[in-house]
Amino acid sequence: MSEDKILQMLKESILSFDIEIAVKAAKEAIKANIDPIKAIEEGFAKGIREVGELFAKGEVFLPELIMAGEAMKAAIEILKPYFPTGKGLKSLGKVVIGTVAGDLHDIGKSIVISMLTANGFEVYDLGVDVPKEIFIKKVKELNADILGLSALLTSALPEMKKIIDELKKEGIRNRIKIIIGGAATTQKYADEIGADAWAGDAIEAVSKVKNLMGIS
Amino acid sequence: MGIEGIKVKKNLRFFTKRELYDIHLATLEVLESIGIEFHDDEALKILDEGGAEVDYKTKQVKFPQYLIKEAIRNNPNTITLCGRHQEYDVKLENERVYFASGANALYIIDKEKSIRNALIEDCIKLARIADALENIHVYLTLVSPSDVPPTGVDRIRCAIALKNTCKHFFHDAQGREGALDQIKIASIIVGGEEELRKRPILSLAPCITSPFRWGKDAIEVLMVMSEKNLPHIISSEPMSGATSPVTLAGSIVQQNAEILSGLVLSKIINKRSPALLCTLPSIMDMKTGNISMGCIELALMCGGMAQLMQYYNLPYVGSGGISDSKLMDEQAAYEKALTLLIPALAGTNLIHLSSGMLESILTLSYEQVVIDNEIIGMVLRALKGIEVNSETLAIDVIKSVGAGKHYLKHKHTLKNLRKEHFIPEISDRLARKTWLNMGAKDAIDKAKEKIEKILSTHQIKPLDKDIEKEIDNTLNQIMKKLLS
Repeated sequence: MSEDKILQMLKESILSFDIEIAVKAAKEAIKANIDPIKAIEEGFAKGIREVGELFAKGEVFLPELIMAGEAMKAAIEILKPYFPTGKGLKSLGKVVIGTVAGDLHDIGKSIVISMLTANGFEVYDLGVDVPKEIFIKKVKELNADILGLSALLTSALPEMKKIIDELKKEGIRNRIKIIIGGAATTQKYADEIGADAWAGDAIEAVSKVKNLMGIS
Repeated sequence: MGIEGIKVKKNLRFFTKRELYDIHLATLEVLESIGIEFHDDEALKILDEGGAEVDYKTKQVKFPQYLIKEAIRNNPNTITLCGRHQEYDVKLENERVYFASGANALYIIDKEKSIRNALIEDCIKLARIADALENIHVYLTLVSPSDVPPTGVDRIRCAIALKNTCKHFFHDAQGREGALDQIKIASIIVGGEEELRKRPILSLAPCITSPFRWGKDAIEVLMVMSEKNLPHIISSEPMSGATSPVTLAGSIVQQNAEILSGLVLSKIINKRSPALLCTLPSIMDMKTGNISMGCIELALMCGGMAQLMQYYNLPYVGSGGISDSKLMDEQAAYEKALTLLIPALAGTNLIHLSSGMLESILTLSYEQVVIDNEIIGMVLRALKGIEVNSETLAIDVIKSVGAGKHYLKHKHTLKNLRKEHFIPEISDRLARKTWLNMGAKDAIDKAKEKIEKILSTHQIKPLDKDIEKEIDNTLNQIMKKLLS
């Protein structure tokens, strides 16, 4: 098979929304001695972009979008050991994300994570009901670019303000951009507590995070 | 192959067995005692020779019970209405549900509430739109054009419809000549009258004048279609409180008697000809004296008739999706939703007038056709019901996901989502902010966009150039003869 054909196959494996097919495709690429960075950037990533476009047109649905992201992630894991030394994937940025303390809701955040990952961000998910200390610790430890805070419950909202205040106290507020989201949040609330952005859904979250990173 | 339709698992029921039998007996009594008027000498003779009791002076025909029972027994239980291509065929049989479009509106209204006469150009465009809409399974000519003389307009509508949609065409005709001319036009497309019998792309609907009077034109159409072994849709359209009893059961007895009288004539002429029974049961609004077709009683009577026809094991063509509202508003939405859903749940085999109709059936809106297509989509989903088997019970899936996680990443979700969830095109489910960013469109705006898309992109399987020319020539000859 020619290199073009293999790259095409890698792209199509993402459009199958199937982890196993994507993993198999990644292994084929290794066998065929394709540069793993090229396999990702000119193969799998093209597939993800196409899925994103189809999603925007309403032709691909959310579970498919998420599975395409998962398939991409799995394929990258297969290729990673073969990256040439000193070379890695270009990440668009490091995102630390979690649902704030007092709130157990996971689904919206999971969708945002899938979308961010699929768009080339490195995402660290801290889970749900995350105490503010953990957010601060991880932001410092990873030297993250973006902090994403999620809440569905109105009662959990004050926690967001506490986290931002804590970051200020630690003197690292200006090192990081903060985006909030979830049913309880609004642009108005984001302005009030001094967050950098608010997003109403996963698609908006991706474009806002890109804006925060200065990528269009 | 053909359009699958939905086979209803468990029908909505309006009557007990005893009540059905009572309705049946009441119908027989009406037909046997007062009978039905037939204003056509040839029909009277046929009915007389066929065993009915005929009074030539009063044109009254009384039906002995055995004639009715024989007619019910002899009629086919399954009738296939063909499209220009096989993939558009619909198979009308008990408990399978399909939808047919609205019909013969005279005016067109838009979102800005401006109203105008329907024109030839609309007739063409709307046939193409109906061709593209997946939930219009059978086509009736959505508008009747005002820019041609009324005599012969049935032939013009027929030629336009058959040229601009591949779906089965359900129509009416101006008497014997109207029926024969339309048969001639349809035969050109399929390659002759014998072929038309094999693949009937056209059916004609003769309608009785309630109460109890068959007019000459309608009788002629019925007789031509039965003689020629082509599908005919024997119709009754009584208005409860005015041209039928105010009680719904009484109105059902009357419409049943009326369509069965037509069925007897059809069966005496040709025992196995494909006859369909159809009703459009409206009420008179007693505040105004106007007809109402968006009323809940229409839905109830169609549901009841569906059950009665199932008892006879005959396919039933009912009505639904009509609104009395003058414009595309909330009234239109709720009247349409209710009067589509109830007859469908009762297992009405073909629900006609289901799209585009406003102001009873006087006015049409383009956008409404598309909105109704979406309502029908939801009704079809409701008819499919809730499937229960090991795949849908999803025990293993539930176990593997467990507490606090979600199902979005599960293969089961991916595999079943399009099958289990109705995917709307017109309904809005965006978050408010996204919705605002995208222009804050309502259902009518979105329907309008879809129409523009259909008109600019939808391709109808083309007719052979020679066939198209022959249709035009034939129509010209017919019209010249008619108008000279």
